[in-house]
Amino acid sequence: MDNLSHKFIEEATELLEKLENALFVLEDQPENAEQIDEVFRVMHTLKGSGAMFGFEQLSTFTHELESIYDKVRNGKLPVTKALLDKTFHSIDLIHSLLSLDVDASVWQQAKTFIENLQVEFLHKDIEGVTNKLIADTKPIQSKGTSKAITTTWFIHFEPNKQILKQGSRPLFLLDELFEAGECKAFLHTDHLPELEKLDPENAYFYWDILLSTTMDENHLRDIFVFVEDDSNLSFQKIDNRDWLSHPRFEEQVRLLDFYSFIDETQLDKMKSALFDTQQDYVEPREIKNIPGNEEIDSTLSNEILPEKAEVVPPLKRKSEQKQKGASTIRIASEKLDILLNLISEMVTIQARLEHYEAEKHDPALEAIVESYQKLSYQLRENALEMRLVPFYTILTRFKRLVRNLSEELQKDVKFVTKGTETELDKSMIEKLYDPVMHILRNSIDHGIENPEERIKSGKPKQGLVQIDTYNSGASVVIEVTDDGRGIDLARVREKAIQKGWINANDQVSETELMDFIFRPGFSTAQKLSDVSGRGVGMDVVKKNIADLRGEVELISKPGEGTTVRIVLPLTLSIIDGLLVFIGKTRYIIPLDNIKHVYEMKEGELKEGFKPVLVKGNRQIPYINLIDEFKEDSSNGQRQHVVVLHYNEKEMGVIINDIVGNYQAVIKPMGKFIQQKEFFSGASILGDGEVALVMDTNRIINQFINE
Amino acid sequence: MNKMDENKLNPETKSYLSFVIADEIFAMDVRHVIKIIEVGKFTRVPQSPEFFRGVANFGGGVLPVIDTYLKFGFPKKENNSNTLVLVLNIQVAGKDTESLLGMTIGEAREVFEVATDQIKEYPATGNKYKSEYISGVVERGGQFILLLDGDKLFSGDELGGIINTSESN
Repeated sequence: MDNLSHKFIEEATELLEKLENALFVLEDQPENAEQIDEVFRVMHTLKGSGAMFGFEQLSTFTHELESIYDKVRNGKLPVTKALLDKTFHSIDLIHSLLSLDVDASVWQQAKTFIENLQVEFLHKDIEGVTNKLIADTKPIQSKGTSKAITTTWFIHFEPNKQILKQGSRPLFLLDELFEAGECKAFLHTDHLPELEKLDPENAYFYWDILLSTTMDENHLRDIFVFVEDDSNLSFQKIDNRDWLSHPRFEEQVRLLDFYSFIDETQLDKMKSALFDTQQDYVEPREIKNIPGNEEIDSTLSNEILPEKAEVVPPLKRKSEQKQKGASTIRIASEKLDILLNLISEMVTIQARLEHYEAEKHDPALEAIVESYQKLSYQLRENALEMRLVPFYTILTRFKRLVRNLSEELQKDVKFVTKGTETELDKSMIEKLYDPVMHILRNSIDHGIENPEERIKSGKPKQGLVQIDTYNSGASVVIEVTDDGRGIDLARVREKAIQKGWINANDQVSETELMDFIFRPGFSTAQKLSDVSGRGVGMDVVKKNIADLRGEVELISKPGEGTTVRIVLPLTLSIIDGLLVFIGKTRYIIPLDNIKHVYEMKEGELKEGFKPVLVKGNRQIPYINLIDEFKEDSSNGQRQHVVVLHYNEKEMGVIINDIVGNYQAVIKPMGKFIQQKEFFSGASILGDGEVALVMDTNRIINQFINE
Repeated sequence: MNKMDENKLNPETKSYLSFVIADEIFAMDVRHVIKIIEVGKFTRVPQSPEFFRGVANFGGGVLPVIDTYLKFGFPKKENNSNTLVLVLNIQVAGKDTESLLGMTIGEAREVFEVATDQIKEYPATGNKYKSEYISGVVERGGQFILLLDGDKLFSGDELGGIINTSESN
């Protein structure tokens, strides 16, 4: 029983988080039926399972809230700020009721709260009925069901020639389309140039695709989200029926010679060939639809196609509605650790297999190895993905904090988040909470000015605090930006003098002053507020981030605002790397950090105070790893430049030969080797030798900051 | 089995593995010894101390290996075939955990037992090697065998060598 109640509390906490999320959406879109449903559902679940597990008071409490939201759901009660405020408050009360032994005074408080709530909202309800009568006629159903119609799309996808260099793989995108429904892709190769003009790193192919799916255009476009800007991409819904399951589909494809090209006329011919003929085959779903009537009643098609209706699109997407639809199970994180370890072993064995295969030149073996590679790659991606958690999972708590703080400090703050679907390893995301929380506190407390002050300095009354999260190479970047007053360096200086860190007439650069902010004991707030002046400062933030092998950077413009940038490594135990030679030793460079690889030509290097590599009209700083690693660079061995990038910085490293792509399982180098600046670990190659894995971020930082 | 249990069971003797480095015979307490392996190729780690031979594959993991010849100040051994590496389980400096470390050896001799009262103290002065790394000396078949102190040998920061420089000056 103990265990069960524990489970329930865990689940309830999660539900409450969902509830908060829904409430935040409702603040912006009070009419969002889906979120209203969500609130209702959470209350309903809490009521039901609460009673089941013996949380009687909780059950009673949520029952009352459920009734209120039932009214909202039926359009009998509008979503107002007052209602949302009360619901937010109720979350705190529910938390306090999440106990088998609720304190009498707590329960009394909850009861009073509910009684007031009933008076306030169920009373209003009576007046509301007349006002909201019109809204009442709108039924609650709709969403979800309409998605279940299978429609057929014609998609033209012509990737940018550079797509491979940008790290996207068109075939993976097609794979995703194939998962989205019944799909047929027609490959066009007519853009392929003559052999001597062919750049093997370019993508010359393009596709015409026919797809019958239950997904809507937004979801389809989501698949191409990273490439749509520079690709020639069009979506055209050609029919509200499923073409590809039609038994004569393939036959028509051949008849109309879709393989060479597809145009409107052909599509029309196809349509009439499939559906207008009266002969032999009539699709079952067509019988119930009035012929020619394009508008299929959603509930009807739902009944006809029950199996289709339940298909949850197999894509993980940012949208929160989607998240709700997918079924989930809980799994202990240790199990995921074990899974990942096993996969690491498997990848190591695979490397041995590949090595063996390379020596044998056996076509049959080669085919097996290839399939094996593909499978193991997918398995690995899958396992890694399971450990990833989108950043938005901790966002709700931040939203709450911003809301509370701005109320408390009487500041008007708009909180915007971007890129919250960016994913991080679960273990990392938990440790991010405190530092980000602290930064937000600082932004609101010290950064954002009072409304009057803002108006005086010509800024909008409402302050802006924004969290941007994005991937950058092999790193994840989290930026917290405010448009407040910025960091007052004069005051930082004052403080540093006061603390005895510098003398009154010392020359101190801006960067050095900024660094003081990260020192223990630093706090510029003139009067201590109980919000951020708690003695924990940016020094703790810096330490927490450093524990995650990340870095913190402060960017501030007086009067314009401050950005705190956190850069975290994607510490994954298996990475995609490029296997290269430096001298006779092989090394692995993480692929994510690589922008270009060039073969070195004479006269491209300019030695000097800061050696640079000249490529066209660009100058890239470089470091010659052949010299750095004490290998002989004068023996005429071929040399390549690998251009690494990190944030906006880029830098070349000079190496010898390129072996090729390599999946590397990163092993620690053992405690006896101090983690050398250049390496983050080592990996066992297929022939049993060890190759060191470069830590490119550190290489770049070390050399660029010098 | 840790040292104390061992002493309780058999308070009189300890087991050592003896091996040759250059023309000197050393021995290591067997409780540190995991295995002797042959290594065909080491991967050099750039910018590490000279006596650090590199890393090698040991059972799918990464084993750091010390070049004992360089560390002990013997002339560098010409490497014409595979190198013998003694894999040790050694206490890491400043930490409670033990970790694997390899040391190159010339050839392995034997495992022998010696009564603890047969172990003589290695004098602090007047000797070639620093006494803190040698836990004692035993005589065996007319030869002196230096017992290496596995816990101290690779522990301190001064992986710089065990040759007693003050004496050689």
